[in-house]
Amino acid sequence: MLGEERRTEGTALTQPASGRLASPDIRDEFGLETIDMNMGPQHPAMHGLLRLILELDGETVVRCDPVMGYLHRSKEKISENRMYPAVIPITDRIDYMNNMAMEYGYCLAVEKLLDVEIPPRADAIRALMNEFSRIMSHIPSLGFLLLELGAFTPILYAFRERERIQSIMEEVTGARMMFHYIRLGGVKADLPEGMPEKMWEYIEGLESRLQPDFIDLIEGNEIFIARTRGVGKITPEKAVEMGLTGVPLRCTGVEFDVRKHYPYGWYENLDFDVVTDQAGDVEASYRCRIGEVRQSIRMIKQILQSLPEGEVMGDMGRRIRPTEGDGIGRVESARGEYAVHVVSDGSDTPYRVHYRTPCTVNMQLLQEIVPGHYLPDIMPIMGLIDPVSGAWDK
Amino acid sequence: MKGMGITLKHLFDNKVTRQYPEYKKETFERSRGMLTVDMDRCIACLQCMRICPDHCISIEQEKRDADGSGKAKPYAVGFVIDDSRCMYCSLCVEVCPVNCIYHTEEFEAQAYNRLELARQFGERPVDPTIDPKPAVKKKPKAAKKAPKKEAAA
Repeated sequence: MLGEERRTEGTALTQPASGRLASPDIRDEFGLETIDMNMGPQHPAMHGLLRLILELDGETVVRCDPVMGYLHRSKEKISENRMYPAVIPITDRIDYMNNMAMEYGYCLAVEKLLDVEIPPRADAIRALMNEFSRIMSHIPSLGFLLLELGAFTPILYAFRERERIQSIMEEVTGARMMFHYIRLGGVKADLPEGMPEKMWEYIEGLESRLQPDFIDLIEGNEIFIARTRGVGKITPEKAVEMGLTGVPLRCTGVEFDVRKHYPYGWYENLDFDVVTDQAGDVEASYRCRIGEVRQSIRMIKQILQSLPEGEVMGDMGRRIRPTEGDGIGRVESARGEYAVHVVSDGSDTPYRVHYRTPCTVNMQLLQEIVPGHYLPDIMPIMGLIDPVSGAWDK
Repeated sequence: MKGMGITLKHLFDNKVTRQYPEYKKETFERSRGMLTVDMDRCIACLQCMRICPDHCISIEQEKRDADGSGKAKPYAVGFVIDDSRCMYCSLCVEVCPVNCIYHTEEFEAQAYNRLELARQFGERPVDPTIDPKPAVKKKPKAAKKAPKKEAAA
């Protein structure tokens, strides 16, 4: 069996590049040369644009340079010219797979400057919507990973789930993707009537569908194991050294989650585990994502069971003018740690806004781990990082 | 073999897709569709124009005694919403003091020309290509002014 062979031989995939390349003598004798190749910038499976400059020796990659900046929309400069509340819809468009976390980070940063108190119900709803947004991002990312490996079915099931969550989100926020729901001082509106029951029903259904439609279909499949086990191996030391966050860090066994270690909002009151895995390869990242979906389901259930009553919007006043100074908001997005740094000069508009997106950092991983792999292994490694080009180019 | 079982199960399940142009998805009360304005209620306070992040609303106002009270008040003679710029963030809807601008259920906009997407309300058409608020406050000046004031005090 293909999987067995590669697993027992196994190490061939994780050896350093030099181990599998023709030795200099042979190269000189036969006049072998490496080939430079462009991968991208356009790929039909991706919304955004990414260009990889590859140096190939046969089918083995010797060098991989990601070129970013094809989707640069100058979010930071735009943010400087807009009033504080009008920046929130801009942050929605940074990571368009997990918008809620992007809004949350910006609002946390400005609220630190404003020094306002958030009503507990608003905090709980924020966390609730954030977890839905995380599921909305994780499940399709599993689908994309398998689509890149040649399995077409899981993406259909993944998008079926995403569409259902989108319908819930539309009923609550008014939009299917660009929610613009979290506001400075609270959330836009309370949950509609009957919504908690609807969410509970959906979450129960998702929990029962997760096993047959995703795990049974994927786990234990020979092709999946052959293509992912040992591919894109990262060591914990390397991951910490590179500053990775999110699933690429946790799949190496390092336990770090902003929600757990630097809790914000309602996460202090929630009981959940940080999902980690020891292997640090593409298969481990898949297990981490499934585990995180399960944790999100657990958190949503907890929030729905103990949803506090009261207002959803703090007292903000008409014009929002923070005092001079700066504030930082850190949140755990679906891709890793996302932080926003807002500097205020006391006027209507921010003086400077900086977005620290996890994708920008995690993408540097390609340079480090792709060399030594075969050309088709690049796509599973991209599945490990789960990049969104809107997030790394901003 | 296991995968085949899942396929068979879904074969007899309910359909999850629908034929779009014939069968449309239900819209919710909060769904944000294309904007529209009730010109009778508009008081030309220009708040929607100021808050709009995409500069898609342009209003032409003049002083007019529209309600016959003898006092000339601001009156919106021209009102344009450029749908080619609008991002449906609903900030203008929230800021409106008389609730005259609101979202409709309509969400399909198409035209051969970009200017056709600019919808005119009011009695006089407004040129949608002119930026309604071109002057952005220069940041460095504001930053410089602040320390001076402190020094003077």
